[in-house]
Formats: sequence, structure tokens, C-alpha cells
Amino acid sequence: MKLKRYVFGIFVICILSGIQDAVAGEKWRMILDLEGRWLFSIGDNSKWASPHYDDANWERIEVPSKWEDEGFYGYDGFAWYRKSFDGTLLKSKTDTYNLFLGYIDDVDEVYFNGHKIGSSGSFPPRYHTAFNALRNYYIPNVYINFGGKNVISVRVYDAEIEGGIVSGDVGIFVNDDDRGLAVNLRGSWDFSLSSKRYNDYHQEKFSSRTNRRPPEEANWIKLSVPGVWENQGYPNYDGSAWYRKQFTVPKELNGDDLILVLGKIDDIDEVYLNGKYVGSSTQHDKLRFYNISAGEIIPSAVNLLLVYVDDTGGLGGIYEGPLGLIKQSEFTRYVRWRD
Amino acid sequence: MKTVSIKKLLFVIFIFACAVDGWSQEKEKHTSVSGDWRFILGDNKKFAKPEFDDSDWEKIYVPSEWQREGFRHYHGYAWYRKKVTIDYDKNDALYLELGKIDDVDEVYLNGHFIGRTGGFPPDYFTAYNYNRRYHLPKEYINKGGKNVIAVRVYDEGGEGGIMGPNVGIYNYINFSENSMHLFGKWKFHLDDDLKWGAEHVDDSDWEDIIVPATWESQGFSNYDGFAWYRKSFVLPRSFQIEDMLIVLGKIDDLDEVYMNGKKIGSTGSMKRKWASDNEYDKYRTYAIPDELLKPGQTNVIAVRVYDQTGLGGIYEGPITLLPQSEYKEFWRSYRSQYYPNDFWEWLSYYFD
Repeated sequence: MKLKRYVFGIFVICILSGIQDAVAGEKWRMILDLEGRWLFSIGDNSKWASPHYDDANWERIEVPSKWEDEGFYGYDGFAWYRKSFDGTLLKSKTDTYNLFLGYIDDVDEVYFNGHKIGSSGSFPPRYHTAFNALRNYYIPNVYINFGGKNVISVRVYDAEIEGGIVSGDVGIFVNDDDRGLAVNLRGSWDFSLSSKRYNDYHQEKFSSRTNRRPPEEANWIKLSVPGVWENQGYPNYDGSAWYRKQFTVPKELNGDDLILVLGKIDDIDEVYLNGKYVGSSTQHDKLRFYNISAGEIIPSAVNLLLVYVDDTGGLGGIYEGPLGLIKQSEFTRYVRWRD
Repeated sequence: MKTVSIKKLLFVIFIFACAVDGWSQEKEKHTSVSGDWRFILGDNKKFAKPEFDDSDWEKIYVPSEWQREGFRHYHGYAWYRKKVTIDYDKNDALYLELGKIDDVDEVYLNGHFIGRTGGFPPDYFTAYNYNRRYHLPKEYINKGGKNVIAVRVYDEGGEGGIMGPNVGIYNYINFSENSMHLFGKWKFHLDDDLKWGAEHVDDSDWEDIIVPATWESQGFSNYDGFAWYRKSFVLPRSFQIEDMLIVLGKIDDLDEVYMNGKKIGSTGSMKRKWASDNEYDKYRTYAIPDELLKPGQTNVIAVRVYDQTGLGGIYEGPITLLPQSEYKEFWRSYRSQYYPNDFWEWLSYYFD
């Protein structure tokens, strides 16, 4: 218990010194405050993810707070939170919305109207805490009912001591940097560690640095992107890893040159789209922009984005947005005069 | 001790006088290209084409790093385009000066490639510290009409864009009637054969190449070693052939020059095949023996080049035949382009 408090103390210091979560470097605006009364039940049942489930007899609980302070002193294990809100409060259908849930102790999985929108940490049996990761989940607009009721369901697992949605801002946020993207690629990505170490990277032949493939036997797990992997189950990992994202794009992008915006990555990235090498960057504090020629993305099909990331030390991964696609013809104006 | 100080003072005054007199003057622009250009982020080869419609592109001031123009956090590809009216006289030799570009650039005039500095990804290397100067071949200029300059830029980090400070179209110098420019299309052959220095060689199946510009920028990427350049030109019947020089700009790395089959000069040692003394940065001027040039007839110049490593070829102008009597004026004009314009900058340069 003392150890955990000690770690938490260090983590607070890290936040104060601004290095904990680079997401803090982004400009978020709250659109809808979801702090206050939520519905709550201990236990675990996949039906509770459904928006149609009748939760009328659930307990009420204050969010954010430790459930220990809300009448569940001493409880460790699974529990679910549910909250509904009126979709007409989200006025713009073209904005992209993100659900912030603050800090959750220890592991969570989030559903929006029954659709899974992300998770942090890892549930038993391969348990990994993510108590120090700020929860920020992108909500695809197709899942949102702009005309009426929307239901958020959060499955939480607490291994020890305090549990629940414990602290931080809870609500729906927009990021002005996301406005203007034709496709938003924030959200849940596939992730797999690769065994290679950094020292190899610059010694590798150019041909292998443009022809890399994830191994067949790669073990893919879900990771919230952007967000450092240290906060999502790999606390001390330095080395390389693969990110994978499958996505579709709207038909109106057919025939357009596009720019792939890939946020900031710690440290080196190598990008492949539909099996073809796109480019590479090596600076951890640089926003990634890659040119995608018309035809390289197929609007009617599922496109596959693979990103090989090599972290030389410290925090690692795709750690800051924006992430997405924008028409090249609109890109210059999108970038100009942005801070 | 005191006398030494006075000598020093007099020396400084003398330097000052010289600087004010000649070298501090900025070279006169033939055509201005500074001001608003059209600008777009991203990369597409079609932006080089003169007919491409850039009317909905953003405007950006040139010269300036784009971070100052609203693109604070952007690193990557971008294109600049500008329409300019270019006119010239028979004896003009024009070049486009863009100053420093961070980090890599490639320039097109009316869709024709005229040069590149640095290396684009994936073979990236920066050239942020080089002054860009690209010869404008008359073959590509729309004389007296609209011309489109398109510049492809890649910035890896830090500042980006066409930084200047000097941008503009300049004339190398106004030469007299008894001079001749040899800019433009030459014949080019990789490899080495001393027979290619002769006056009569069938070079009709050789490659075309634009002089001056590195051969890497013209399709011979990563080539190091020997190559030959040849050009035939007809001198006017009235041409005075006494006391003539040929200026060949700068060559990377070593060269040997033949006029009508006779060797007239060289820089560096071809035998040792070793560039040891910054030969690539040396300015080539060779005297032509009086009996060699043939007025009213075809003359042939052949240049044997050895490139040790990196960029190669006859890469900077002027490329001109001129009389010895005009050389001093020419040299002064040339020098003023190379040395700092500001007196204090010049002074610190001098005392370094």
C-alpha cells in the first residue's frame, strides 16, 4: 500500500513537471461536463455494455471518486459504471468528440451505445494496471445519437486498495486540432511489441528500413492512441513495437491527394500504408505529416496502416495527436497560424 | 608600439574605403522575385507544371522562413510558385538566386528541372547552409513573357523554407560583343577516354546535359568518377581571338580542358585522382593560346572531369569566353556576389 502511494506521489510530481502525459500538451475544450451522479454496480456482466440494459435499480455513485469513499470500502475486483446523456447537447455533427474519464484504478474498458471505444491496462489473467494513464477515448461520430439518449458504460477492474474512476476531468471534449480532419484516427489501435532494440536501428540497411513487416506470430493487443505505452501496461519498455490500424474513408475523398497526420511519436517511426512504405521520421518532438497520393487509399475498402516505432529510452509510442487524414488541398490552411 | 597602432588604423581605414568603394554594393537585380509567392504544404510532381492552377494556394512572403509565416510547427514538404516576366538581351546570362533554403530544394522553370541542392528522403541530406544559385537556360525561358518558377522544398526540422537573404534573377555580367556565353546544352558522357579531348569526335549519341548544374541533378545520381563534357560553338567572323580567356565557373572536383583538341589547362591532379585542396570550390579561368580559336568556324571545347565523391560536374557559372581586358571588371563583379555586402560582416570575415 505504501509503495503504491509512493509511486502515485512520484506520478503527481511528474504531472506537475509536465512530462507524465504529453496529451496535456494538447488543447482540449470541455463541451459536456459528465461529473456527478453515475449508476454503479459491482460484479461483471457483458450485457451491461448494452444501451438497452435496464439499470434502474443500480446504486448511485459520485464520479470521480474512489468507490471506497462511496460505500464500497474494501471492494477489489470488477465493477461497472453507466451514465446516459442527451445527444442534442452535442451541437455540431462535424466535430470530433472525445470522452475523458480522468484516472481509473486500475483497468477499464469503455462502451459507447454498446460499441467498444477503447480500453486501458489489461484485465486478468494478464493483469496490468494503467492507474497513471489519463483516459481519453475518441468517440466515432457514427456511434453518437445526436437526436436523443446516449449511454456510456465503463467496465473497471481494481486489483487492490483504491478503485474506480478516481480523479480528473470527466466529460466530453473537443480538440481544435481535430477540426478539419476528414478522418480521425484517434482511438483504439492494435499494438504488438517487437523484440528489436534501438541500437540496431541506424545500422540497419536502408532496404530493411523500408520493407519491414510485423512477424506472423505477433501478439496484438489493444492500445489507446495517442498515449505512451508506459501508461498502458508496458511501464519500463524501451525498444521497438508495431502499431496497426484498420480504417475506412468517406467516398468524397476518392481521387484526392491526402496528408496523413500522425501526431508526435517517441522516437523513431516507419510508416506503411496498405503494404507500401510511406516514410519515416526520427525526432520525438516533431509532428508527423506524410503525403498520400490519390489512389493509395481505397475509399470503398478497409485500409491498413502499420507503424513501426522504435523508442530509444524514456517514454515511448505515439504519444500526442492529432491523428488523421486531411485533403492535401485543405492542409495548408489547416496548418497555418496554428500554435 | 604606437606606430604599429597607427599603421593598423590606417589599414582599417583603407579597408573601409575599399569596402565602401566597390565590394559593399549589392549587385543589381535583373528581375525581382521577392514578395508574395503561392505556397502549399505537401508534395506532388504536378506542381512543377507551368499550367497548374495555383490560384487557391496560400500566399507567402519570400524570402522568409515559413515558421514566421504561420507554419510554426510544420516540417516536411512544401512547394512555392511564382509567375515572373523575364526578358533578356543576346549577351545576358541569367541565374536565379534563392539564398539559403532549409533543408533541401529542387527548382523548375516552366516545368523544366534546373537544379537541386541537398537530398530528398529517403536519401535525405541537408544543404541548409548553401547559397542557391541556378542558371536559367535560355532554352527554357519564355522571352518577354510569363514564366513559372516552382520550388519544391523539404524541411527536416528547425527553420524551413526559402530563407534568402538575396533572392532575385541576376545577370552574371554585361559582357562586350567580343565575348561568348557557353551556358546551356552540352554533350555528356560517363567514363573516360583521352580521345574524347580531340577536335573531331562523334558525340552525336552522347547525352544532353545542362551546364552549369551538377550531374546528380540531371539523372546521374550517385555517380562518382570520370565524365566528359563537349560543346561545339560557332564564333562570329569578326571575333578577336587574341588574349582570350575561358571562364568555367566551378567544377566538382578535378578537370582538364581542351580547346579544338589542345589541352589549355587543368585543376588538380587527374593522375593521382585525388582532390586534396578544395578543388571543387576553386574558380576556373584558363588562358586560350592566340592561334587556337577559329573565327567564322565551328570550335569545340571538351572538359574531362573527375568527381571524387558527392556531387559532381560543372556546377556553377559563368561559362564564358571573354577577353583578358574585361577580366578585371568581371572578377570584381563576381567577387561582390560572393563576399558579404555589409561592411562590418565583411570586416569580420576578413579578420577571421
